[in-house]
Amino acid sequence: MSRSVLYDATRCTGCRACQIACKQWHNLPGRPTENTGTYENPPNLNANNLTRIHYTELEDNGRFRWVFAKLQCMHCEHPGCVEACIVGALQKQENGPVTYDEAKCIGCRYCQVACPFGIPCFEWDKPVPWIRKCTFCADRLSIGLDPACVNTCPTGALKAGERDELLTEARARIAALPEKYYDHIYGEKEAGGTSWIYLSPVAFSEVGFADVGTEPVTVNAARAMRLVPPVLLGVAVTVTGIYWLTRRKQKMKELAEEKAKRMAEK
Amino acid sequence: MSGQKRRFPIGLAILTFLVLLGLVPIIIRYVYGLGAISNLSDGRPWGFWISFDLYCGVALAAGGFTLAAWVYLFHREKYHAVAPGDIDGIPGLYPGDTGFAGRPRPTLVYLACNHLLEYPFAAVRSGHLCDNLYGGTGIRIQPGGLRGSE
Repeated sequence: MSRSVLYDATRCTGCRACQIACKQWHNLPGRPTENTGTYENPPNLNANNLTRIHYTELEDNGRFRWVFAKLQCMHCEHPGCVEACIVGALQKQENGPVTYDEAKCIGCRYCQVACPFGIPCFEWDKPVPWIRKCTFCADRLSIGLDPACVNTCPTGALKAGERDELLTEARARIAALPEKYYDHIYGEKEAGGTSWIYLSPVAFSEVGFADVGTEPVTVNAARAMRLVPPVLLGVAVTVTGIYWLTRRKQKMKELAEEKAKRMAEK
Repeated sequence: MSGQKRRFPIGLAILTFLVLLGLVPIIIRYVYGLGAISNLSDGRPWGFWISFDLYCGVALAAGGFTLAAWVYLFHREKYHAVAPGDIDGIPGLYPGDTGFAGRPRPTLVYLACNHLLEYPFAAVRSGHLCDNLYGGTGIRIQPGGLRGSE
């Protein structure tokens, strides 16, 4: 039972209704529009923008073409942020979401460093700041509703469901229209699999998606950390040995001196 | 009785000045947030301080620990005078501590929600942190050691 969302870029029109729905559900303030040279707005995720549509401008047979991509927390199956969080404020829920408990967070920002997709954002302007990222609308999921963005999407580019069912459907969509889709499901195996999965008409590298590999980001860290207990024990044993040896040497030396002294007295 | 007034030591005066100077960004931080006093961003959430702490703080402490090891493990007693130690009955803690002592203080400002700092300490005491670090599905990411718990 793991909820998942399929984003189909061929169906997205870039209307940004998902961005508005997200702000409404989370009661987040708007951000004044800055002209940055593209139609993309806002230009980046931050603590008040948990999702956004990324606009990629491409040339397709001499014609201008937009390809859209909805960015938010991917809710990884093996989340780096959860593994990095030292106080357990971030947790992967059984039904899909990676949730954040601000009552536990100490603001070390380890999750921001650990995330392979660069998603968690920090409230840089607050005296008591927290980490902010897409919540997968865990509160809505818990009462059987779909996430706010999925609910509002007018073109059906977003679809919520069980992960394996959505993967099957994504494969079926590619098989039905192979000329329309790029033959890859981003998130099926990326970073060990994510709860949000993507279909695109062009290669994902062209839309600016990172090639994070298929290995969960947690694997290497576990490999390194497994060495800590034996190394610690090894150091303790070595140091104790050195202490014992040098002390013994000193004692022997003292004994020899005493003996020499006694011999001299005789 | 010499009528001379005892002068405020010049070294202490300099250090007091530095402390007062440091108070200004701390106050700004608690009014306008970390963004106002640092150049950190979501793209670069860890900055100069963490590397300064890692490379200088640990390096300073390493010198102390090496000295302590030399005196207490290798029994080079003639250097005992520069590594007096014996804090809490642990020989050699003192020289190493000269490097460590300065570390938790900037961390308090650097960590965002330091009023919750009790949590990791309580977690260590209750053994919860060890569960978090080594329990569950696997061993946890800690490339920088126990950084968050300072």
